[in-house]
Amino acid sequence: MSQTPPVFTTSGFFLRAIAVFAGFPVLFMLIKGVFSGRNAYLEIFSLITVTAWCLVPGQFYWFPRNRFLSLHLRGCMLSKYHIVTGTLLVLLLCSHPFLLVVPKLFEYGISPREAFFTMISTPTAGVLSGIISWLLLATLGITAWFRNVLPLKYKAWRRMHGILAFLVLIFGLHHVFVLGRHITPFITVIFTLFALAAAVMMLRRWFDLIPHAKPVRLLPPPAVRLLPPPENIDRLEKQEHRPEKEEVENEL
Amino acid sequence: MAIKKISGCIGCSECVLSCPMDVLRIGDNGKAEICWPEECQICHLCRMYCPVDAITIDPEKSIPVIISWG
Repeated sequence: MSQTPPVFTTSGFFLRAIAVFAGFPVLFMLIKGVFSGRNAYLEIFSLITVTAWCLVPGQFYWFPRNRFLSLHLRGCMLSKYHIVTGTLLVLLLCSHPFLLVVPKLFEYGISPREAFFTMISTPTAGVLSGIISWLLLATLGITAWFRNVLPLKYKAWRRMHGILAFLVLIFGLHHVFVLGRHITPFITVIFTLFALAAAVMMLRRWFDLIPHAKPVRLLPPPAVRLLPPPENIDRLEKQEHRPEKEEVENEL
Repeated sequence: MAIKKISGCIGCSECVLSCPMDVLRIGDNGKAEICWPEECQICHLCRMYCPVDAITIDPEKSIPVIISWG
């Protein structure tokens, strides 16, 4: 009778979604052979950054009120996945400008500090969009971690969170297209499609185009779940026998 | 050609300033371009001075080796 709720780490749907949002572009980049020529640290670091960026549009898809996903996973699981992935994304993408200059520690030439300040003070469109998206991403992470401290109601915070995430996606996409090392026509198309899908999801939510249907309950109702097994019901009834009011009065 | 490719250039001109042989120039798009590849002496200065590691040096030497007959 009771259907075991799938856990997101073992659910096939989760694995397929991860494969679409992260595995597919990275696999294509590996097949195309664009990861070659630089040292291992930079290649691994690039791979992690690209994977993190590929998961950004996925965050627009993984939200607890997504009716389609609620057929596969419970809302609390979706929420947990959204928080865990979002935290990892913010940490990885916010730290990537600093990690980029780490190899300068191990060779002559420009120092890591000089490299960092040269990088952020070069007034090109790609750098500016990168700095703007970095600031927006940091704001997104901070306002999400300290949501309970902010003087905002949940609905206002949710609207702000969505707008910030959408702006991060737009500015980040420009930064990736201008300065991305592994950008090929195929990757450009994939990233654009993912961003468009995220925009459609966001607009549908803003204009309440998603029907408010009752989510599918994967677990039986709480009252049924709390009932003991049938073979123990008689024993429990005997243990919990309470004297009637008349019996108590007679004894007195 | 010794410089294999320039990918992810932010246009800061550090490589152009560091190159002793004037191999690199800033192009019309605001990014570094390889203008005179045959002049490259594979000194790696452009790679070392690039703040974002955008320059990849080809490990294979393409400069013809001068053989001394004397």
